[in-house]
Amino acid sequence: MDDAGTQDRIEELRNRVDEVDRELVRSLNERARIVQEIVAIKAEAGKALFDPRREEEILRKVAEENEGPIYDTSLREIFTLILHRIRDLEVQREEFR
Amino acid sequence: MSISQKSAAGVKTNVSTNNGLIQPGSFRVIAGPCTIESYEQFVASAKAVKQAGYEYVRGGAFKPRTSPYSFQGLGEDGLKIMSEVNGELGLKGVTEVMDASDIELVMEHAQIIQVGARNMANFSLLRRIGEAIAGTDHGVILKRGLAATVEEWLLAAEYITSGGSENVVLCERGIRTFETSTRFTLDLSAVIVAKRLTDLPVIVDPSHAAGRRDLVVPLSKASVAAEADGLLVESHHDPQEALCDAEQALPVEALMGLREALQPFATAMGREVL
Repeated sequence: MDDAGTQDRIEELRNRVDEVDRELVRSLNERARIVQEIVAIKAEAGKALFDPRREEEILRKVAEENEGPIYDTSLREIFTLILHRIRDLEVQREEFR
Repeated sequence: MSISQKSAAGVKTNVSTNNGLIQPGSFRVIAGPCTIESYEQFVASAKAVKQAGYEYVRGGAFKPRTSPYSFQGLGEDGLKIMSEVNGELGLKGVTEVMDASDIELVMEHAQIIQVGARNMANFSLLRRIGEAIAGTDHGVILKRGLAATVEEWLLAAEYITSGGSENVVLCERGIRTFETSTRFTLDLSAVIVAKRLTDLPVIVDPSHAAGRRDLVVPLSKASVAAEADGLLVESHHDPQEALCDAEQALPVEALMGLREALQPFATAMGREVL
């Protein structure tokens, strides 16, 4: 491929990456909104936010469904951060003060 | 208990343990010497705790000292002194267990088992304690490891609570930072974060955090304001002669004044000092 061809191909792939990122952002916020609903129900029922058993269940499922090329352990790290950041968002809700 | 229940100050003040250690709307003070050194020393220190109006006295029989050549505590003899003195004075004891083979022995002589910062990640010990106290009135005070995150601390507590007991109390005791003017850095934000995430009561040990007695009362006041459910504080009838942590122990006069110093802050938070 000549220089212009290489550049075009990279550009095209980058556009696809951007599209996937947009989808990820949309999905993550969708996930956060669902968690908000769960948290509202938990707050009503007087249940604590900290739930390591459920967390482990989620991480196990994520690893099970993973087909690569990302390592299972890397996905667990990524999802741990997602879980905790969404939980931290919820901790700051008025109900938990 | 509903997690959304709040005091006038907007603070979750209604967490409790089944065994009465932590009661809703209260702020529990546990005081006493670092170590049980002798009958005379412990009885004098325990009498001061009683006189100051507190129900729980701390005192170590097994001491996790940094050096193996430092005084290691009186062991079983120390536990016997504790239960004898507490029986006479009507106090309840808090003491550390370091080895799983001592759990039953410690439970014979004290109501509350303390897990020290250095054992927070000793998961087999935590599990054994959780099994031993399940279904009893005995409780556990779990100190935060000196380099543990809040998440790690809560998971350590889970090792105990998964045994079935709800009498578990977390204790923030300072973490290692670059600061050297205090022994450790008291992390009050951890108290709040832990209380947001769980229903476990959280108390503060300002003595070990600061390592110096002039900070103990101000940090205790700050702990009340930071939503803590109580204090674990070191006091000695004669700090000059104390065998360990002498510079951080409150002398008798300071212990007597502690309640008065804390009550205005506790009142503002909707709590009563016990």
